[in-house]
Amino acid sequence: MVSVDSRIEPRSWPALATTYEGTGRELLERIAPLVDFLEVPPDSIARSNGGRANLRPEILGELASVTPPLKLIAHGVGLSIGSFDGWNEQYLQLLDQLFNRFTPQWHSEHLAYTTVAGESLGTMLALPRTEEMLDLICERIYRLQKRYSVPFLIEHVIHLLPDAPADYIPAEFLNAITSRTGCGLILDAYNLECDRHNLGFDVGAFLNELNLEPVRELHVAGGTQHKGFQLDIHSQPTAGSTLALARDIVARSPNLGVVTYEFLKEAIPALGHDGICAELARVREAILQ
Amino acid sequence: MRTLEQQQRGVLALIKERPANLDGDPWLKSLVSSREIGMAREIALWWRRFQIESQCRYTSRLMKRLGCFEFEVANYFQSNPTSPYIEQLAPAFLKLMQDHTDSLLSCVAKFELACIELRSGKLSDRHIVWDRDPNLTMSALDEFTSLPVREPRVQYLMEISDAIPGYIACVREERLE
Repeated sequence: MVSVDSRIEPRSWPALATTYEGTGRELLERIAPLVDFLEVPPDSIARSNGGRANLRPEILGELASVTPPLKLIAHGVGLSIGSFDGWNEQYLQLLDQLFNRFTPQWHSEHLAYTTVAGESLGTMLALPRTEEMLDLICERIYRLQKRYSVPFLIEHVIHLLPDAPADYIPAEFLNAITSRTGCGLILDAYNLECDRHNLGFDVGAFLNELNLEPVRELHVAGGTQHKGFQLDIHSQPTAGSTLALARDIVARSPNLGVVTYEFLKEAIPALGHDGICAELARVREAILQ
Repeated sequence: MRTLEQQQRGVLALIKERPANLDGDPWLKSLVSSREIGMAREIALWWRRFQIESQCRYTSRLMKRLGCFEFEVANYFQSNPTSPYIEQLAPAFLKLMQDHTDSLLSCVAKFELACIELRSGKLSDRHIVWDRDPNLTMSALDEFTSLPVREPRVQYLMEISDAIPGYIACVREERLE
């Protein structure tokens, strides 16, 4: 097992990262000078052919061509680490392909499930915080830590559905996972705001109860509301309230290494390349200085 | 309280609007008509519509004109496992639409499916019989103009094959009644 502590060097201030989903060399050339890391979701840079997914070689080539080289973070969407019937082995094959070409600083996945009995839900759902789930998740994290030589981080997701019966409160559940496995944690300031808006989640109490030492990465993003729901669709500039929450988390997380501004590739036409670059400068100014 | 398997299968059934036995799980029962499960379903459908619109452009546009796009995507989502990979989702959806009872929609779906298969090197020769000019049909869908009308006693025999220069050949033929 590779402990997070042994692999991610804490910095005097967090580095800046942003998403890259293979959306073209022009955008890559614009954002590369503005960030220290690129967050690469293997699922999003893959193509399925004949039932088997492979990373698109042209995107791997783009990533390799960045000079000076940027550090990469692999951030998964489709592992479905909490599915009762096992995780998505195809995602791990994509991750293997990425590790064959690059050495990401760490890799991460959402504390969620996206498939049931091999069938896609079409969305990502939070897991029940039970003893059974804790055992299942920790066992799978152990296997990930054994399989890959870099640290693994887990990220909480927004709660689309009301909580299922639980043995743990949210912070306790994350504390149990990180203390048992030694894995790191990604906090997402926007996800926390969504939960506060949609379910009345007490973000302040959550942060007070959470062990912030394993927090290595912080996500910020902006989204939209629909029918009164704050949606986890990263399509907008980051709201001032999200940046304020992020600043608070940065100040309280002693081992935070990276702040990542996330946006969906589908939002690029609306955000624009200039808008994305301006947002990166804004996030750096607001949080990192 | 059910097992994890029962709980996750129950949530899948609720999102897909499939019949499910939720006895013994008050939490699942509480979700049945909830705005939250409705929103989860809406998000899943929004993504599927977005993906299908981006990859099945002509079929989507025609379905919108016919007023059946949202219904057919929802029906497809409910009745089929939907792949998160667009390369699998788009052909699977078009394969369903090529059997649609609306003959024009069926033709457009067949044509678009053949184009996807051609691009991915998987095309076996495809023959499509149109009841109106396919060139005018695709132009109308491309430019949001009026669709050509069906031509009585005429059919357009289209062949799509990687053995044909330009890949597509089409012959207008008078039909004897």
